[in-house]
Amino acid sequence: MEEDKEKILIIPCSGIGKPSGTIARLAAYYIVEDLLPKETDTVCLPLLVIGDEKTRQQVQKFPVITIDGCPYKCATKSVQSSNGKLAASLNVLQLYRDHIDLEVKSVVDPGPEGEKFARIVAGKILDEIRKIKREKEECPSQSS
Amino acid sequence: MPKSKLIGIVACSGEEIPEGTVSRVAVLKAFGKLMSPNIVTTCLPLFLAGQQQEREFVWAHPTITIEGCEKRCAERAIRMYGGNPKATIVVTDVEKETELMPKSRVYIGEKGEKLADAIAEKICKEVEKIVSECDKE
Repeated sequence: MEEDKEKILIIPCSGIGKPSGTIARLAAYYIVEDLLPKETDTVCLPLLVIGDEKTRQQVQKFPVITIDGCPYKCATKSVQSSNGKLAASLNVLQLYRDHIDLEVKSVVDPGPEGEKFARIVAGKILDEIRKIKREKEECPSQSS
Repeated sequence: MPKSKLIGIVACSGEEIPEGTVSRVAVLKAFGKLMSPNIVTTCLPLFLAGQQQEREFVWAHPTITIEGCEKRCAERAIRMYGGNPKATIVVTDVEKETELMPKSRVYIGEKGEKLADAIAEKICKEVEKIVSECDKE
């Protein structure tokens, strides 16, 4: 990632055992690749897990939104234990409660309804990004 | 397939690079080929979240790691918590061997799928190797 430019980091859980990990990952990519590529980015969660210094510095420097796939909240815990700037934490399973009519097919291929749900999760991430921006405008000193 | 021994496959899943996506797809393709209840996958970030069950698994069972890049996070994470992977496959090494590159992080494309197939083959071979070693013991 570009290191000097102010970014909001989106870190999904990416758990391989559950489709919710795939949804978290896909939602993050909708934001960082399609919707807000200049304002957001992602870092490898495994790099945080092993304590990579550069990745730790990034999560300490920029606001982070985590998207967890299960109640273990690995992404959130990893950012917290790295003393990262956790701005918001979303949980795919909690969000799914309002969309149980959508069928998420599998870990490899979430299917059209799974993709639709990932876009809904991306919408929630956008809401959090707007909140961060608003707070920054209201209190620029606190967010820097 | 081993009768009682479990084998763990741990993918890097790195979000920042297309090779992280390839590592996930390759592991899931290998699962489809092996079709064995004795082959399991482990969430790498769960190690940090402190799941005792995940940590105990890598102490007690052979593991194969699939790494997206040279940083080898999965292997390092397992070693950090006392495990010792039996084999490590690095996606970027297989890219060089096969000259197949994934398209992007979201859609790995046709070449990315072929790359994942090649890695899945390697995973299956490593599993067979571990199984035959276990049978000899």
